[in-house]
Amino acid sequence: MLDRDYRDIVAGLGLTLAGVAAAAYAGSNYAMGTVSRMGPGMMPVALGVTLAAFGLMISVPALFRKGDTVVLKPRPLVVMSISIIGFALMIETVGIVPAVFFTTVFATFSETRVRLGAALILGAGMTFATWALFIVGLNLPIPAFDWPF
Amino acid sequence: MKTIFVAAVAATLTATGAFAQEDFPTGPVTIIVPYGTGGSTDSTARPLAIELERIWEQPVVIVNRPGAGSMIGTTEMTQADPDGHTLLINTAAISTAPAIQTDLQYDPEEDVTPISLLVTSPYILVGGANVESDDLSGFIEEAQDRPMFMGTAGPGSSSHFMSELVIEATDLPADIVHFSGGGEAYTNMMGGHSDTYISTTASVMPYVNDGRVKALSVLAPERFDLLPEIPSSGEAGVSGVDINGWVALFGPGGMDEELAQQINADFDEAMASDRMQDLLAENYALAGDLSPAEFREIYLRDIGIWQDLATSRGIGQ
Amino acid sequence: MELLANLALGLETAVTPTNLLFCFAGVFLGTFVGVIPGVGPLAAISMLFPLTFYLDPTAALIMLAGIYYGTTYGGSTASILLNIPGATSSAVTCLDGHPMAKQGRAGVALFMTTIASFAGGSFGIIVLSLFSPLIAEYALTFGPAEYFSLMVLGLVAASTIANAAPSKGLAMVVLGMLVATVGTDSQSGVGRFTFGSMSLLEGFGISAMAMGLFGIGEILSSVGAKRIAKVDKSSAKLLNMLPTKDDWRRSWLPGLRGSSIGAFIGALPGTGPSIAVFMAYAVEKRTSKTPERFGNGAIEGLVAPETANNAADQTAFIPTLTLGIPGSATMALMLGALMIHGIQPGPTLIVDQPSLFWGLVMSFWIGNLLLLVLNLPLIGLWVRLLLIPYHFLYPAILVFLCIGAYSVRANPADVLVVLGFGFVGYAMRLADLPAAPLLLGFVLGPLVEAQFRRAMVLARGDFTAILERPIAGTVLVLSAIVLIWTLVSAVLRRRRGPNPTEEPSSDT
Repeated sequence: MLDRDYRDIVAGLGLTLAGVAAAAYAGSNYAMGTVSRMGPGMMPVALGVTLAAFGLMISVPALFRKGDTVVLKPRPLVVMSISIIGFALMIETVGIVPAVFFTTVFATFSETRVRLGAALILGAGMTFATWALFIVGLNLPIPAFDWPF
Repeated sequence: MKTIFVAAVAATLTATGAFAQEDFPTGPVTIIVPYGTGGSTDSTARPLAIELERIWEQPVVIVNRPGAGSMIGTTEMTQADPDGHTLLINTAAISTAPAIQTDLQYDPEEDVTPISLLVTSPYILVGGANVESDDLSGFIEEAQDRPMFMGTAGPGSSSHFMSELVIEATDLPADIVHFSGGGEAYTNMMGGHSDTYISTTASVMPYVNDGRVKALSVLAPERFDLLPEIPSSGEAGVSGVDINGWVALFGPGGMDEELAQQINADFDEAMASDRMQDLLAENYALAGDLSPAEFREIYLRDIGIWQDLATSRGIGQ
Repeated sequence: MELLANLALGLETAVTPTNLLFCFAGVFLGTFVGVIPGVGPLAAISMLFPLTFYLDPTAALIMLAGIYYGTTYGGSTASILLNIPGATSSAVTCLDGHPMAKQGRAGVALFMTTIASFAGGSFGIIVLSLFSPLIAEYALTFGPAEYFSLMVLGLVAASTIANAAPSKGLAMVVLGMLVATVGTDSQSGVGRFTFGSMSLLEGFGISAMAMGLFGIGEILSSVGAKRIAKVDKSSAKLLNMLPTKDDWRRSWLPGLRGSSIGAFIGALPGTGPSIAVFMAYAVEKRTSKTPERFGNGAIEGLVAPETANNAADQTAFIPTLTLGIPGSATMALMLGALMIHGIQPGPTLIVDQPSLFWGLVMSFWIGNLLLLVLNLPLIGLWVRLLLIPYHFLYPAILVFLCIGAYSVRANPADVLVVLGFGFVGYAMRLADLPAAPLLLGFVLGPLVEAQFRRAMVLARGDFTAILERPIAGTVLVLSAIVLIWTLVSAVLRRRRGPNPTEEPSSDT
């Protein structure tokens, strides 16, 4: 237990900040228009201000109550990101087969439960399954293999 | 895939030693449709592809690249090689886009080769439940007492530009209301929430034939041959609104003139097929009959008209 | 009796061996493709559309309709078992379906979903065959002011669907609406928050958002955490898949309400099933004597949206077939399929092509029946999916999410957008902010804005003119009452002292 509910304080302030930023950007870049013909800026500004107000409604009461600790797990976050970014980079450059294999195998590193051998088998299985399903079955226009040279 | 393909084409070229047009196409032809599957442009492109496969004896692949008012697909086409193997079928949206899209990622004059006008038909002004008059002059009079709401398929759409054009040409007391697509514009007009809509024959005639909306005027100096019962704007003494809607074929900029000529001829042959003639008849539309150079003039003229109109009416500001 | 004759004619068309085969093929393909997250009806139909190009119009439409239901159903399966919705409607199914799976009641949840789909679908078909022309006419009286008021009611209802403080729910609705402003403004054509990027002009895709917020968010918070066994072998037994008497008793009334809400909202062009689904869920939670059970595996919270979704899927055909105006992107594709075969939908369709119209109606019903027959035996198979240890399952889910995200527009950048929303989803879990209201704000936001601005143009800037319209005025007053009630009851509950059920359910 923490002496203040920092989770809600941070969340609320984050929303307030996002709302103010959006409203300020929209207000200075897009026309507000008139009542009968509103411009593109009207809605984002109104929404931004409202969001900022709700953010305060969330964070202010949280100053006066106790809260739980929040645990962030960095390892899965980093591993998953690399795994997904890898997929995005590989799908059109080297094809779906290597992309799927890489994404599957690398994603297993988020935890220590899967041994490398099992991960490689899983990767091979997934690669075959997606190839059979998407390339053979659905005939999607994604290259199975592709070489960037 | 693309790299392999280009390499293959290059190899063929070196082998024959010259750019022999008779050999076109040397491989599969991709036609980009910058709209979704099943839309009206797509429904023109797909049967055309079947006919072209027959003529060319090569696979013709339709690729749908919808988005940003057809500009995503159009931009993609401009980045391809001008060897005729990547083409684009687009509507008049390609001529209105330069007037409203400030960050266009290609030069509409340099990066596009207009090849062929495939389908053309006039625009028709239709009125909904609340409109009492039956023709354009009556409508203009009616609007003096009751300012009209002209529905569009969205800002920058051809219905928007045509509505602005009518307002400018006739000093019509009217407000523009933007709907999300033609469907919404029609329902709102049928329900009496808005008053008019402007679109091509293929789009408006089903509703006109149902009796749900009425055709007030063909926007042209003369009546349209296929729909002689609808009065023309010329009869009402209105001029400066006679622009036609079209569906046309484009290639990347800098395409060889002879190649463009040949593709133009091949598409003419495809358009002459029974399949395409039936489609045209259903849509009350005509096949285009222009050379690449003649069509280029229309393409550039329309771009100019829309840009001027956008400035004078303050569109996209 | 004319109706019976028509239905007989329809049945005759629908049960020809070829049409039956295409119906089955569509349902079958749809179910399996729909399980892949991100591949909703729209994506599946776009993919398979060219296949039907060579069929005769009735068979083509029957097959497409089969794919449509199949994918919707398959989406629910993935939502219940793995908490990875690919569409807005299945995001609501997650709310109570996934908690049920966590409690070892995955079989029951799937069973009830199947039954609810069939019941809702049948209800929608009855409405479709009895009242099509009437409803189409009535829907025309809905203009921008009416749609605006309906959307406002939807937004107010949305803030209460999650088990969070009203301020958090409302904040997420507003955030969703704000995120939805990214892209081309529907009323001026100006690109908002696009920073010169052409692909941002299209805005964010709803499926990318649902996949990221729920799917990736779920994986990130589950991986590396201590896991409780979700199922043991016994729950795959037939007996444990059957709903209890209590389940049935709780379900029939929500099912009826869900069907009615779905049938009504689905028939309005310009709303679509996703709104019907949220509305149905909100209504159940509001009228329930035990709202705290919602979000923790309440069967009502599963049955109501499922029936609403399927009823709306059916009645969405009403504007498409009778007015020729599609109510959603999926319907636009269906319309395209008709037009490509030279059939012009409109009020005369029923008269001109009775065998097509009624054949379609009956094949809808047969499609729903096939869905039932196909899926009841499959439930056992699906539940076994949960027997796979999660550390083998999540890499597979991740791959399917990536492919699903990519295949929507064949754009690798979309995969990164899903990842981005995954971060947001994870952060929201850490901050205990509910994701479902954000999704609804995202769906309704652009509609509210566009309809409001249109309504103001049509009213020439006079808001009272909107209030004076009978339907719009009534619905707006109703929305105000619901909003005030929400806020007042929240204050009253706080005064009465801390209520344990108000505490956020700890998911992480």
